[in-house]
Amino acid sequence: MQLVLGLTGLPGAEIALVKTILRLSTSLTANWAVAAGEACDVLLRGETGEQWPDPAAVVVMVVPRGQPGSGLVLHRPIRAEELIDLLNAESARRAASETSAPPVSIVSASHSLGGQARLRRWPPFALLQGRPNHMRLATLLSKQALSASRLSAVAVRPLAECEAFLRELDAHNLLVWQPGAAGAPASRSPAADHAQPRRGLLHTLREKLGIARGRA
Amino acid sequence: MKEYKILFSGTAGAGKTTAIAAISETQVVSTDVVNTDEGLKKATTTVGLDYGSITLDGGDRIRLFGTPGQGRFDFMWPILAKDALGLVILIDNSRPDPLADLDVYLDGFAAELERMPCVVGVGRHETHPEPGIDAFGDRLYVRGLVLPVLPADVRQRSDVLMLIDVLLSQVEAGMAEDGS
Repeated sequence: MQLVLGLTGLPGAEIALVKTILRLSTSLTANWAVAAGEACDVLLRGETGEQWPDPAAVVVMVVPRGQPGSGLVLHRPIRAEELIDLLNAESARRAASETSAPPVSIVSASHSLGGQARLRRWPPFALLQGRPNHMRLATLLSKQALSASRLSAVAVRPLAECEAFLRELDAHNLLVWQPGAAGAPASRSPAADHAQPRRGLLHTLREKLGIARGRA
Repeated sequence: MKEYKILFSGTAGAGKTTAIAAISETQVVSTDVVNTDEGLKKATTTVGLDYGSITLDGGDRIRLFGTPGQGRFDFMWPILAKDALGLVILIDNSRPDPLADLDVYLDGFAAELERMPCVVGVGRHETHPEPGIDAFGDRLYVRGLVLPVLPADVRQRSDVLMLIDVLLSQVEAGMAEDGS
């Protein structure tokens, strides 16, 4: 599907950022081209932007983060995942309307802490700064989907801490949730048998460098 | 005795040699020559690779390799990355386009990054705060990668140890994925 994104009333740096995101993203579900004074399917409009003539365009106001807006809004500083989510939602809506199929739900199944989640992107630094344990939890979640209980077991951190961190990440829309048996231990794979010597290596290296972890 | 490898990569001047020296038990062996690149504000630059090592109790050894920073040596990167425990990409935030620099290394190590742990350390962030740390996370996201990104002054041993700590956590996370 080929769709057109219009930009108006945005500073040059934001225009360049949007174009870079469109050029590099591997997560967009449609092909998006940036319009230049033409009809468009979605219009990103800054405060000083003018409404383009095409009445069919979906207008998204770009406003400072924390400022409410009526209708569709995209907050600045523009975050790649928010822009991609917005464009994917629009392309899904159009695809559903074209096929007359029931609207496709793009919200994943379980947002309860009983499900399993993994990071969709590395968290903003403000969520991790000064909290080395959260750095480790985020690193684990970057590699695989984990429930709160499984995360607690693997990271050897209190369950309450892991639950709170998952809630914090979820509140910032940083997680991809998967339905699954919460807390069910992963079946042991042959690779696990080879992991023990490496786990010993990591422990020894950490001790050598003085970064050994204490157990909770 | 077993030998393992950790790789440091990044642009010339990003601090690869300094980072290795911060944790190596042996004096870092560098293949430096006088810098003739006017755009690079250093007296010397690495044209081969840096090498340091850590010997563990029991005799196992961790070899620390720093790749040459210039793009003309990028043929060495996958050779050096083979069988590495992990990769540290160091970015100099004072350069004209640090995000484009990151792209160079993400492209150069694309095959390796499908399986190899990696952490991105952004240097000179205090004096050059733009692009922000989160911009690197954004760039990784649009490229389909979820990798740790953190500020790091490799002149501080504690910051280098933090990068290694996060890298080792990635190794451990991969082991947890295997069900161990």
